[in-house]
Amino acid sequence: MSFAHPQLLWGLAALGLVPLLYLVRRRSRRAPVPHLFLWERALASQGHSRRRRIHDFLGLVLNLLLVACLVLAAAGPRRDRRVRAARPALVVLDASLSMAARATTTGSRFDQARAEAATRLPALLAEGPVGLLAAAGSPIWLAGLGADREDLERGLDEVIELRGRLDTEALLEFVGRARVREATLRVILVSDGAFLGDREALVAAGIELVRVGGAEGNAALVGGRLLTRRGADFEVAVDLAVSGRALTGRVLLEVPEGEGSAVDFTLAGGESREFRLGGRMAEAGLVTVRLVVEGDALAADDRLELAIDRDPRLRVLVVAGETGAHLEAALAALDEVFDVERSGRSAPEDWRRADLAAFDLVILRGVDEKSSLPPARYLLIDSFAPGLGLKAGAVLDHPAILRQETRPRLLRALDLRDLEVTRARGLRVTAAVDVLLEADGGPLIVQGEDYLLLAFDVDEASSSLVLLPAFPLLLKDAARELVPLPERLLPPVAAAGRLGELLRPLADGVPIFEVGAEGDPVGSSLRRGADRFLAPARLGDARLVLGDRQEQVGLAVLDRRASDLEASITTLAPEPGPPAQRRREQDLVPFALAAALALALLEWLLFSRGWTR
Amino acid sequence: MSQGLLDPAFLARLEKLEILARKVVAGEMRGDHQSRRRGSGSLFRDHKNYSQGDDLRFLDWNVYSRLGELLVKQFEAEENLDLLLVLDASGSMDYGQANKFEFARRLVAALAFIALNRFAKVDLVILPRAAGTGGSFFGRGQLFPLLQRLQAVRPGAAVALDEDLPPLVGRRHGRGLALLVSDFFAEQGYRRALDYLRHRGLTVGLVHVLDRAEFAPELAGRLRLEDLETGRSLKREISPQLLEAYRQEVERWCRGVERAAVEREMAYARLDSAQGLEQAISLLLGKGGMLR
Repeated sequence: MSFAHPQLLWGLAALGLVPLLYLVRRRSRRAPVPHLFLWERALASQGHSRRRRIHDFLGLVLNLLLVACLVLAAAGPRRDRRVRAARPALVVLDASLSMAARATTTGSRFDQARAEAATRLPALLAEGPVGLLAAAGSPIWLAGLGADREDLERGLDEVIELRGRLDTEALLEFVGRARVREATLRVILVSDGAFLGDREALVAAGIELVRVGGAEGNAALVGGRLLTRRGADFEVAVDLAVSGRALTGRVLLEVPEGEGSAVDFTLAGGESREFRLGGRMAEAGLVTVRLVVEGDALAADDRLELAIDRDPRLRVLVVAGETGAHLEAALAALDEVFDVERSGRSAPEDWRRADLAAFDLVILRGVDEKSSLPPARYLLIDSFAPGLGLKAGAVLDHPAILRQETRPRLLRALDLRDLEVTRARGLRVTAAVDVLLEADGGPLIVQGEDYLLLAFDVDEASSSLVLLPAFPLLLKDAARELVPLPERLLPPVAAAGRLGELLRPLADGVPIFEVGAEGDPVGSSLRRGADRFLAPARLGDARLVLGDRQEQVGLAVLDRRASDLEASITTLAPEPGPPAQRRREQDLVPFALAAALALALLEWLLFSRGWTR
Repeated sequence: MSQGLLDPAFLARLEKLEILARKVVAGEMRGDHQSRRRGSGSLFRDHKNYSQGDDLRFLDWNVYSRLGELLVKQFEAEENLDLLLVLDASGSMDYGQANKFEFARRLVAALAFIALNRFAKVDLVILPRAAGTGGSFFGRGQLFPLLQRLQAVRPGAAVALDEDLPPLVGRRHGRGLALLVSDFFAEQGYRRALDYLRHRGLTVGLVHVLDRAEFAPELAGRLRLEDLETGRSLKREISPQLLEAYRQEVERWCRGVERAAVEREMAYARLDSAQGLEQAISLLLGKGGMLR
């Protein structure tokens, strides 16, 4: 039994006052009477003495009980089933994909896990209430903490989609939060053991692991990520877990229009390991990691698709007769930012034939001014002193260039009238009507349909700019200003913790998938009554249409296959607090009040109605 | 309260009581009380043969003229009334919202006043002896001494009627009316005292003075009951049931007193100490007929 306000139990000290009051009350008042013998006769006719003692004792006991009941009622007593059954238990069924591994006779591992849980239920129920969870990503309640075996068995019969890998961190967090409320909570994880690391953490957290799966062995790719990407080369890491018996096989990296490596492995049952695989792929794209294993019990977890983005560095073509020390130093410092190629020749005719589209940026320095610029993004660094030598007239509120005067021949081919001036420094108003744009100190950015140009006024002989240690940063910022960040290659929907997250907006109302026929694994993952899942208009606003109403849902990508996207929908994970436990907590205040009332009634009957006399 | 006996107001009340008594009794005191003795009264009773020494004034000459026999007329003797007033001044009498003893004392004073006014001899006996001194009083002039005696009585001591009454009454017998004014709460009994008075040849009347609180005491809770007479005490929780049993005991006791009086051909009157003195006198003179 527990109390809502245990501090009020100090009121039980008032019990000591009852005998005190009783003694005070027993103090007799003096009452003179003309004669005593008639009183004695009246008393004798009542046989009073013995009953009086009973009466007094009963009065004391009843008053003690009455005060105790009232104090207990004020303290808010609650009967906690934990008292009767000292230790509640939580049975966690591993619902990761590897649990779908099927032996020839005993069904899948998950079937074995269910059977194992069902076998353990009677013994666990004898100790206390039992709750049932399915855990792959975020744990999901199958049955709240309770003592009803039928409820638990119904929970075991729930259709559960097996997917992903067991998220031990999420499980540990869940158990930790549950133990805040149930300090003695016993947690039993029924699993094939095919999860990554943290086994020690599970043991340290007091989670008992019950292995299922027998002779069959299963190798599962339970995780993977891109480690490095440099140019066309990349490296990925994959997590491989083997459950059941020991297996030997090979991990293959398949790269479309590229090359991928492979690695052989031999792992014992219950062992997991990270493998690194290298590949080469010029563009961004999806690569597939695949397992080739003899005697693998489950093929569904042998494939893993990873998104490989392109090299995040800017591909830069440096066209310069002579780059100069300052530029070389800056390029060296920006190795992590720039993937530099050099033309080696300054004649525009030589590099204009290059595939400029393959470069994010062209840095020009000291090129022949007689040349013209083919369409590209240019960063000009030269001594166009003073300034760029570009003068353009424009109306103040109209950005179009009305007239131009360009000294460098290189720029003469530019028809600035087609350009839009996006930024200029050193503006100098020379007339009331016209504005003369002259970049004589800072970068001038002009942007056309095919051009994006940023010019620095860099005079090696006289400019102090190149001497500045900030020049590499200036160069980097200018380059980033010219070249937008490349889009990362990501699936539109990805699991992010408990709540799935959309990583890029989709067209509103486009169905990502529709509920499949009964028995379809996609359909089985959906909540009952769900019609379809629509792409959200905003990020993080995924909604599941349930007839007339909508419900916010989490998303997780399972697989990507051609143009189809299969996703599973999980409702928001429940709080780990065991709801059934709260329901089982019985409020005893009405009972205490009823007992107090009954005692008061009994006292009234005994003493006011004179039952004891 | 005791001062009241000598108050002019009380004395005036006594005068009124006397008038009341006359109306009720409708006669003078003298000759009202018929004696069993033959004497010199005016009421003819019988003849007897003349013998030497007889008063010649009482010879019936009419009989002698017709029959030639000397017969002497005999008359009922007419005596003055001897009134014995016994006042119970025990501790139990000193009780009640309308104090029983005070009521009894005033009642005794009133009765004595009436008697003295009728030339009766009044003997006052105070029970117990320690409470006060009685005495014999005759004539209206003795009223104040009697009232002073009554005034000096202090109730409180224990009384055993059977034991204490005979010595105080003494060998007084015959020719008299004895009025015993008491609550008759005598644990050791009162019947022998009554028999004693009866055997002395006295006409006995019992004036039973009670207070209402004795029938319905307003007591509740845990009390230490203290006997006013003996000083004994008793601790008890007073319940309604106990009160009812006590009330029945009191009623039974009072009926016993009344029955004892009837069995001994004694007049009996139960008076409430809260009732008025005039009402009590009317009751005693009229219905009770104690003073006839």
